[in-house]
Amino acid sequence: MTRLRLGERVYRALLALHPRSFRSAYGDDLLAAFSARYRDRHRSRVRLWTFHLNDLLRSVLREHVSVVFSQSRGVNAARRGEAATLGVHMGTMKQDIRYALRSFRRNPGFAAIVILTLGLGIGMNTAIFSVVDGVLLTPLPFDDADRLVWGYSTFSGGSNASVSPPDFWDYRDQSTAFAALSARRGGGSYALTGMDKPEQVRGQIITAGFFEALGAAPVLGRTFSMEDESAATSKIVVISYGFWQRRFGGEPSVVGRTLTLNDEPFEIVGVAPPGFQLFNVVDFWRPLAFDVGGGLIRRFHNLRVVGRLAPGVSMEKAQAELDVISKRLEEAYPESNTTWRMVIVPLHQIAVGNARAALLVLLGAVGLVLLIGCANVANLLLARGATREAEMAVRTALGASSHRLMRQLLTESFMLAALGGILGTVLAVVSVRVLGASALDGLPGIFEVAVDYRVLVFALGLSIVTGAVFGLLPSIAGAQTDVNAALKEGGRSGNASGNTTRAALVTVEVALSMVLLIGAGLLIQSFWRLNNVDPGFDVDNALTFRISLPSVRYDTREKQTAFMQLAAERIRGVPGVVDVAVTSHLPLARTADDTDLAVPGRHQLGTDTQFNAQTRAVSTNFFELMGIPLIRGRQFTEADRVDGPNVVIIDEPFAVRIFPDEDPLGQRLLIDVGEPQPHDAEIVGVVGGVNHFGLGVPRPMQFYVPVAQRSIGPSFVVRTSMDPMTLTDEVQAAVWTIDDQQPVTSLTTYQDLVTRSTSQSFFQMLLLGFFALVALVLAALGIYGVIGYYVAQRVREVGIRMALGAARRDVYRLVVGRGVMLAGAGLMVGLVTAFGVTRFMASLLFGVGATDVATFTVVPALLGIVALLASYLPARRAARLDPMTALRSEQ
Amino acid sequence: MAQKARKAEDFLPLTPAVFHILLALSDEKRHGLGIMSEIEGRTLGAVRLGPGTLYGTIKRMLRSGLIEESDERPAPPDDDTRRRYYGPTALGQRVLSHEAQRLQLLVGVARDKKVIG
Repeated sequence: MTRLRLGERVYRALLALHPRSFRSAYGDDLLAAFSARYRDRHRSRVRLWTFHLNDLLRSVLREHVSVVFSQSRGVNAARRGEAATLGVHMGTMKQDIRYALRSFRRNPGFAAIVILTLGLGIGMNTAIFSVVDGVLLTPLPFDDADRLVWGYSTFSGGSNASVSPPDFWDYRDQSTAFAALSARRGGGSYALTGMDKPEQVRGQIITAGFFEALGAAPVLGRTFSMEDESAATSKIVVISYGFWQRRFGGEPSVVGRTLTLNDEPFEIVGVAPPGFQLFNVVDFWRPLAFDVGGGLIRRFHNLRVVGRLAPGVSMEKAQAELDVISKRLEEAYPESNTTWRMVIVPLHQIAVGNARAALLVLLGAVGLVLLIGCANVANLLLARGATREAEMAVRTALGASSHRLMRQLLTESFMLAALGGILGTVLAVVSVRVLGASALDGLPGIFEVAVDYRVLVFALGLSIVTGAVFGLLPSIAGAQTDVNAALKEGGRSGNASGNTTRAALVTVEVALSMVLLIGAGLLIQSFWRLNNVDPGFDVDNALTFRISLPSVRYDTREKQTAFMQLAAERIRGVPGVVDVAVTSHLPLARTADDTDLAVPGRHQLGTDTQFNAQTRAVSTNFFELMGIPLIRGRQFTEADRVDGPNVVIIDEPFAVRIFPDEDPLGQRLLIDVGEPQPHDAEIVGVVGGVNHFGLGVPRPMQFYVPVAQRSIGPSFVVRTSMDPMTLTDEVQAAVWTIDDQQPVTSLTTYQDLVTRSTSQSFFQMLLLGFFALVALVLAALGIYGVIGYYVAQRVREVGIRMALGAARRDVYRLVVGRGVMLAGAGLMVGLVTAFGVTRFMASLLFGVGATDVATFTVVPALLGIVALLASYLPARRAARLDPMTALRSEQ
Repeated sequence: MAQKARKAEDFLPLTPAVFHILLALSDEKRHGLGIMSEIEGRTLGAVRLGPGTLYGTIKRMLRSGLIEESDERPAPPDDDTRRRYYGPTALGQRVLSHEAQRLQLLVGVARDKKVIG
């Protein structure tokens, strides 16, 4: 034959994919057929290859399948050279499976425990990892999300400040490292009127390039350009997809229509694509006007930056460029920009925040459970393997090859792993659904959680490997024993090294369970303490809601105050209402306001004598209604009017920190330092502190001003004499009698508000507690299994002892003693490990140290009791033995 | 293990590949390449069997007893000693005949219904 051309050689190589039998029979013919076509110059090469590759693919698949099936039908393999070039004989595989099933039926407990253990380990592991993966590791839902960055400012006094609009303009103007650089303010609430239903909507102020940076194109219309960033042209909005569907039914003619927001008209110029949101869910976006008001002040830091790195530019390069610009700005504007610089971080880091610690702990926990589960299974398999030595010996004597025996054991192990895997998969799917919903509460709502198949496969693989290794070990060891000896012993002596392995495994299990249990114990205590924190005010029987008064209709403080007073009066008229108070920010709600202050006369005004405190505007009856105690001085009265002297009331943390040795009453404070309108005020009272950022966070310094002296979007607190939820309709109606265009938002009981702030902690506690429980059960099973085997091995010995006069008590002592020894070793190891490991979860704990003595005593005691019980049951069985039967038993 | 004797009807309906191969072998013993070119030629290029499909089918047909390797070989120089020649078995001929009749029946129905002329 002439030399093969390149194409023919390729084809011949591909032929190797066929089963050997087929290849040896027909390989030459196949090549010849291909060559004939290949050398025919009339044929198009492309079509030739597509045809033949297609044909090859099909025949490869078909031949392999046919080989498997033909063997199982027991076809005469001598025919046509499909001879036994294959390793596994399918016919005997069926035999193995049937044998395995029979042995499971004889020992259902064993099979059930193994399958359950594997199922739990695989299922839980997959579920948790899927949640972690969905939240922590999944890229953001934007194209090329690893090129996205988040920018904020640092300066000498802080490291998490915002960027000011003029600074941003300069960065954008002067940098080349970004494909797009944009900024946004925090979301704001707007009253939407002029349509059939007034509604409170959320909007965000952004610069041009925001959509482009995130890689989103509008579904209708356009997004903002730099021309829109001026006061004259910025009365336009892009609405969100959800808003478009909800309020306009998805009408395409929405572009060009006008929305009335806070009594001002805005033209709709575009619609965002579905699902487009970044961290806060808003209904619309509007452009930032750089040429007016806050847009001009370099000291107003209120923007967060979102950008996309230019292709080929690294974060380091971009940051370096930004630093150069920062230096330039510092030199050009020393009063406002000294030490200020813009810093960028990957966007993903911001998205996840401090959920990270919690999720990693959970991941560790579930990994431990899987390990414990595998250890258990290994143990059980080893035990079983050892007891079957006699059986193996008999089969060997009857002519089974060790190869055959190993295959039998392997089949059993694989079947157990398979069944466990099925159970695990079902558990995983169900758990992911349940966990996914609760895990996402409190996390930015842009993540989706679904079963991660890589993990499932990994966990399955791990259990199959465990099954294979530990299923085979006994047989490998057994293949070396003297068959004769094994037959005579009747399988009693057991494999000595196997015993040690199994004891070691149990010790490890107990140790790991200990770590888990201690971790769970700490979290449980933490949550308990958190729940019992006194927030500093009375939470029961209180209804809260918010109203935002659009500045167009309520443009003076008088109008605002009048509305609030009238609303309070009308609500008081509702039967069941005890009193109504108003504040700018509810304690423990998610909004806050802070500002810088100084005490005039104390040193020079510089960054070290300035301090920051939370501030709140409140009505005169606020403290009384909320149950906040008055410690010194007086409350606000009607006399503290808008035109009167500025007064403030400070709280206890403030007084303790700023006026530790003097009476704060009568002192003056300089407020809003660094802002355009600083003013000073007199301290007229001191009240008790309240928690604001969460029950687990120390109380911040706060000061209060009268509602009449500040413009606010009021939050109402309504104290009721009955279940507040029964009065929601009446309260809303009361507000609407004054102005039916006022949306009432965030209507909820104070109790719910507080619960929501602890929900994350609750979830963590629940989850870890569950794992710890599973670990405990598994460890107990492990101990029970090993001790049980120990007993079974020594039945004759026990029989002899009892026949020689040993009391039941001695038997107990023997068996339980062994169990305690095993568990004791595990406890020790576990304690030491726990000491080292709980340090890493310190950030999750509240009110409890990572080495809390109570937990470290109770848990080992608990585990010890469980170990005792797990040893007691087999001991009882041993003690109940009739000595004669025991002596006679072969086992 | 001996194959149980099978009835011709058990094989119906035939896959297109089997049908065409039986058809190609009904008048003359051929080797693989010859079968391929006969089929392509007779159907004017409409049916092209790839080598993998062809030999896979041949293998199965041999196993089911529809064809056999033929001892008859054409006289040299037409003979190519490396190649295997195939021919139908009696079973194979019966099966082909049954299948052709089945198709004829169907074509008749199509004619009655004026699907074809």
